[in-house]
Amino acid sequence: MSNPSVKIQGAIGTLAPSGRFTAESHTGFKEAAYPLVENPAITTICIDLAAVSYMDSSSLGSLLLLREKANAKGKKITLRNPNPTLMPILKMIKFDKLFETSNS
Amino acid sequence: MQILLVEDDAATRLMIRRVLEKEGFGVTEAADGVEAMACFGLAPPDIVITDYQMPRMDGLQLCRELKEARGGLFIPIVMLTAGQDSELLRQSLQAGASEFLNKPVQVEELVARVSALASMAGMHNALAVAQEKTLGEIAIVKHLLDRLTSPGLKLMPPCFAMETLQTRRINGDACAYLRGIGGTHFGLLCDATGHGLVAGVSTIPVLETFQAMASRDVPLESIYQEINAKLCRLLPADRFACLIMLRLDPELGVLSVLNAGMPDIFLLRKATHAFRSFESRNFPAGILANCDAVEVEDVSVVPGDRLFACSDGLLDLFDGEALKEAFLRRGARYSIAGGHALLRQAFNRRLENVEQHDDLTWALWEVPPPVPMVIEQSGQMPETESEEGLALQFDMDPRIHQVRDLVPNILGLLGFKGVSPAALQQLGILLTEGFDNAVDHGLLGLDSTMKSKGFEAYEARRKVALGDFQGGMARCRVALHYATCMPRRLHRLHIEISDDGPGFDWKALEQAAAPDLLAPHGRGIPLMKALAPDFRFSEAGNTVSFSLAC
Repeated sequence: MSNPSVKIQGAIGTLAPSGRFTAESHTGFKEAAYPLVENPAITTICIDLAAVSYMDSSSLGSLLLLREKANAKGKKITLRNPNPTLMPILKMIKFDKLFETSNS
Repeated sequence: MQILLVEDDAATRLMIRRVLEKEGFGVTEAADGVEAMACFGLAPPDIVITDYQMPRMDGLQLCRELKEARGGLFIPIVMLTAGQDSELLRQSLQAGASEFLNKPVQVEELVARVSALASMAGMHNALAVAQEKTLGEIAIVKHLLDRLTSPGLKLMPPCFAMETLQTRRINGDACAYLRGIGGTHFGLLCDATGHGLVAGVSTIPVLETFQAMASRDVPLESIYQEINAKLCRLLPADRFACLIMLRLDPELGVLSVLNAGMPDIFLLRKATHAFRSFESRNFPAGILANCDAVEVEDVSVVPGDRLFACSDGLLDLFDGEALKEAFLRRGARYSIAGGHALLRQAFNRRLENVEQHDDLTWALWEVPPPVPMVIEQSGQMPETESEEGLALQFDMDPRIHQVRDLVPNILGLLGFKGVSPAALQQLGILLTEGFDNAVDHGLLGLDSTMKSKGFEAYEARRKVALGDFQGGMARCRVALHYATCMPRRLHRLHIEISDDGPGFDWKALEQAAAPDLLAPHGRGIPLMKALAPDFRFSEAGNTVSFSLAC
């Protein structure tokens, strides 16, 4: 996975990882995501999964870690556009209850 | 850094030696390949510098022999050659040389080349040391994990089959099976985040907690809560473990299933060939510190019904959900006896076409026929005078606590006080039966013949009765009697179980015909009497008392 692209629109920061989102992607994801957590203008961090083809358990852990950091700063994490293969996995581990999940 | 210098010309040898020693290298000298191999045998150097043309054994042959002799060690070889014969270079590289220097040797070039090789050899060897250390650490964790899972595996009954297709030496999937007090069966399938050592370590608290609690027949809800609390406390925020836990009560024919983050589990009914699936209804353990709503599904099963479960490494093998489901359904169709080899074949065929990223464990389980409980009488000691040294009393409101949650706690306390495991085993059955009777029949007024209408019907009726319940307690008093005070020697337990209900006509029960030990109801009291021969009712019938040797 190449480093996720970052887009900021008002109070929403959107991260869009692509390809295989695995343990190897953790550093790149962290480097892209944590500045958004620290940015005081941002209240919601949206992870756009549209271009993600595969997620392993480590990348799901990365989301948990980000959620913990964001919640500590009073920010919300949302998941958007998981593909039809990812959605059942997110449901299976109830991430759809932990993160606001939507398709745009 | 020690250098072995092989050169037949004494003057050249002396010159090179001086240069190298000035740079801080230690130098051992040899006049030809044969001498060099003898030196190597005494103490392997870090780097070898050798001439090509030498009597007895030339540089090329020496390279070949060194390559053989050094085994896994990385010892770079510098070859000194008279010209740029490309065929000679090719042969030397093939034989194991890593660098070439033209003769006559230029001092600066020699020092630069050897220094570069020295730092490379240093890194290589540091890496080898680190790897050895890591392998040692992995071996310790593997030993620990094997110890944790092996007691369960030794007990593995003929009704259970499982296998892990792992991607690394240690994997994040763990499986356990054990028997609880009173003949219940427990199964666990766990998949921790990540791979290899890190994931393996995370499974240790899961396995340990499961074994300690399941062996005492603690309900799945409580085991899950304890594992979840432990993982939240021990693991970093990005680590969690998906779980499947099963409990089978073979006498009631009730299977309880808890799925936390694992793929669907499929139950195949033997009689109707119908499928029933259990989807994940709980968070994986280690994510939410406060996890009150735990969902466990209870279903009636009969011997021969089969359950197939898989860890989510399965997702690697299938792109479409439908395909995966078809495979899981197919898994439940295999018999335990023949299924193992066939399932392995089926998985391996899949693996040939797909890159496996995650560990994959499957488990196949068949509901075993119930075995009438063999009651072993504890050694009957002659009733002698003994002192009551300690008494524990538990008062329980059934709206707030469950019998199955409380009994393991009582047993745990008594275990600390020196009651033997054998006595605890029997006491576990006696307390569960006694407390269940006190709550269900004494307080809630349920009729045990209701059970013959099926477990679900009984549970539904029980739920209604619990909702209407106006209050009252079920009580249990356990007194520890000691044969001698000093040294403290435990002798007997005296137990009294009572409830606030109106009691019942126990004398009529005494006159009834001998019960059918495999029927779904009416077994409790005969079982208690068999375990504790002095079992008796109070006049009103709302108190029972008995004693147990320990």
